[in-house]
Amino acid sequence: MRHLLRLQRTACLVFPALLACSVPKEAGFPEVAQSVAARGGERVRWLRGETTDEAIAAEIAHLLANPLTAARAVQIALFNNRALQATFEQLGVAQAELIQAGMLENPSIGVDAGLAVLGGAAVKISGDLGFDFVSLFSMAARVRIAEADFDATKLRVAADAVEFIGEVKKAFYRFQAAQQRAVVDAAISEAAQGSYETALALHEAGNVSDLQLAHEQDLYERVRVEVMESQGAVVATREAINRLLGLWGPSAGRWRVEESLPAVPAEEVSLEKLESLAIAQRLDLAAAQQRTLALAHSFGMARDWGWLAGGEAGASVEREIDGELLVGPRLELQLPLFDQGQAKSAKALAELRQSQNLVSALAVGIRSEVRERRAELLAYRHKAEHYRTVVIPLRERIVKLTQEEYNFMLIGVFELLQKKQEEQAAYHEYLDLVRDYWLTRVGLETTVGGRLTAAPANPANPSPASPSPSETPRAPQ
Amino acid sequence: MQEASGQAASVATAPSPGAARAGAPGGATTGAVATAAPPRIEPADERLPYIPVDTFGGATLPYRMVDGVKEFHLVAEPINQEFAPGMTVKAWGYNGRTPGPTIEAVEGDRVRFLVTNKLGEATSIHWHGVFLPCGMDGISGLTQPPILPGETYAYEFTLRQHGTFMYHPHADEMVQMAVGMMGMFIVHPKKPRQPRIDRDFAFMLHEWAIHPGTYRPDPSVMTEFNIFSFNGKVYPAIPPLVVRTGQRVRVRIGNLSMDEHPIHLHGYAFKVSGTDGGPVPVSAQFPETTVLVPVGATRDIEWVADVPGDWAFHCHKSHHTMGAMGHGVPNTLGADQSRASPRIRKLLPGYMPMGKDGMAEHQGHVESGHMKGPTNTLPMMAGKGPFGDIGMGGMFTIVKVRDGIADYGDPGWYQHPQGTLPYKVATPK
Repeated sequence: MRHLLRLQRTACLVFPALLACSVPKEAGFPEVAQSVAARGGERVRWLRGETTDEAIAAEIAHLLANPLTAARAVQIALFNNRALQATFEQLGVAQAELIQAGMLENPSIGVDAGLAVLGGAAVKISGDLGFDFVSLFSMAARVRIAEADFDATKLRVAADAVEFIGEVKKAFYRFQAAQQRAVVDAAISEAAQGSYETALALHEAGNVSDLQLAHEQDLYERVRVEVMESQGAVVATREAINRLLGLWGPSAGRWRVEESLPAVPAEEVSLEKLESLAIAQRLDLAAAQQRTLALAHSFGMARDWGWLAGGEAGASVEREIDGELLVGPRLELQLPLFDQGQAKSAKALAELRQSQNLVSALAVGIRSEVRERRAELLAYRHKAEHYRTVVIPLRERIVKLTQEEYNFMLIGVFELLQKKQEEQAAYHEYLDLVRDYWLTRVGLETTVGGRLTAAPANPANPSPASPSPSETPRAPQ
Repeated sequence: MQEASGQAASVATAPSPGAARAGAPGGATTGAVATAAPPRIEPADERLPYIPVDTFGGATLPYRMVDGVKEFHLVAEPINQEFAPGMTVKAWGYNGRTPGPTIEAVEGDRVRFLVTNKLGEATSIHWHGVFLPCGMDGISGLTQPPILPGETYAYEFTLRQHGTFMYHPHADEMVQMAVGMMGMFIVHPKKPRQPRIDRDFAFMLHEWAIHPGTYRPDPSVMTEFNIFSFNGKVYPAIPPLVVRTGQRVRVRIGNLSMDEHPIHLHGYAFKVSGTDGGPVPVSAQFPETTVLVPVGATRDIEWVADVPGDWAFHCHKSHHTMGAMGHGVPNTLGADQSRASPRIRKLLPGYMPMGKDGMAEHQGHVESGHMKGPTNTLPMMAGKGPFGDIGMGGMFTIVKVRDGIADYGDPGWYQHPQGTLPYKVATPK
């Protein structure tokens, strides 16, 4: 009875129409959108050539017209990335499979006609109508499996979207860092150029040998090569963003990032109970669990209905040559003599166990990844803070004291500029550490399932998981 | 036996046990001459066989008479001394100063020196140039056991010569002398010789390696010294030698540094009248304007200061009349750094290229305050005269000869009579 009710519910659109039923358009996408929004507040849209697509295009254009932030980049990517849209289409595929599972098989009809070849206008016509009735019995089970698979697909698609958001944020931070490092490297280059130009002036005055001048130029050229590499990194990280945001043509070149990489926040978000949070929040784990459920249903079906291989029931009509019309029922049945479905059952059981093991392995892996990312995060925080509070002020102090010695003609300008370059190099290393902190933090967010804190009671108001835009300390000029 | 009263305020007038010594030992004494009124020039006290020596910027060692023996007390100790405002040196010296106070005695005196060691290692005192029994010669390990930290030894002998001598350690002497332990030892003749000396000065010159930003001389340095002093002071803090016009002047110079120094006097020619070996016979004296003082020697020079003025008196090795300077700096003479300097100034605010037309501009930049140097480091060039920057450091001072002065206090700058100054005849268009 329960089976029949479920049957009715899921295939309710089929029975009334019987022929040519339509497939519901949402295909479970609202649940996916809700999962994503609950984690970071970002909106996802499935673009299928509807009128709302124009509004979305306008919003993308508006977002691109302003300086890009991490949040804006994520939003544009969610709207504009075609590979993500392709992922959403998996929902259509899974939903179609669900509907297919709840659909009755079409009956088959056959007609034979026989004409006497030699002599006479005798015609024999026979026809039969058949309907696979066996599939009727297992339909409820098949629908249950397809439902579980559909739920798994929804979860997987949402997991892909959450991971995609993490990738966009990381690409943004990489670009931000590359842009800032290019500025610092340009300052190092200025110092090296100052050194070289001073050497040129001394050489012109006859105070420095050709060899010394060549040596100074060599030092300068090495720095220039590093600047070229820095600038190359800016281009590469920019293109990574363009790929994720689905941009090409003029819009790929026009967007700007004006903010600096945010400083490591003064207080770390609570890193307690992250493992349990990850197990509760990870959508791919939930998807794997749904898959296991589907396989459990498969096993149940194979065990209960495996012996019933197939059969047709129907009617047959025959019109003899002499005009006699014969009508009668028709039954075709496969006899489960050799194959009682024991192999199918065993296979289904093996697949079920396999899935259960994979879920456990995934859970263990997730917990370990959480611990690893957390340790990495704290290490980067510690290193970045050390640079900010100890190393950089020390290099600045060295420059100041060196300049005092220069002022009293105790050392020359080359040594002073060398110390300045070393000060900027410390700043360069600090930027790398800050960038790595944010990359690790996004990685941790994704590992924990999209947000670092448990979802609040009101799911319509998620707390931000992105960093607040406080400025990184500027390089001393 | 009393000391003459017309001398720098370091001489005790009432001998008693533990008499006040010149400068409190062991303290952070500055070597500046005390703020008491400058001594008056009085007719020489005919009871004294000598005019006391002016150790300008330094002090004279007091003594007390104990049963006919002149007893002096020297305390070997670590000290802090200001070489010039802005530079304090953690040195070792005697009785709170480097060089130690000048010993003055008379040929024939029986002298006793009580030597207390307040250093962290053993020391001794050698009486350079003095004829004495070998055991009193002061060579640690050779002629005496070392004076260990905390101990006091007594040296006693009779002086049987006169001249300009020195005293210094002979235990770990490389270190102890490098950080300042030395002093002058003047022995006057029983009867003043003729022509009579009216004004007698003494100074020890020395060289130090005090790396920029530090306070302590580096004793391991052998040739690269950067601070050069007279009596433990550097220009512009070396006091002037004040002389009344017409006086016969003698300057006694001692050198226990690592290099010879050619000491030059402006405006006069002098004769070298004595060494640490004794007086030079008049027939053997030849005229000089520069006396080369070798290491481990003294030189006495004499002349009559009959022309008034501010006469420079300095070592003629030009690097020795500068404050600390780097010797590995790039040579910027004649180089036009105008292309590079705006770029560098953006990275280093306050940066200025230096040296294109020489180094004299440096004094002005430093004094205007926008070129700060390392801690405890003197600028290369300093000092102001009545006509502008003098731009010196190190071994430089001035002999101020004046008509009719009543005391030996600094008389200010010389007022040049009309027609004795150069005058400008052309300016650039």
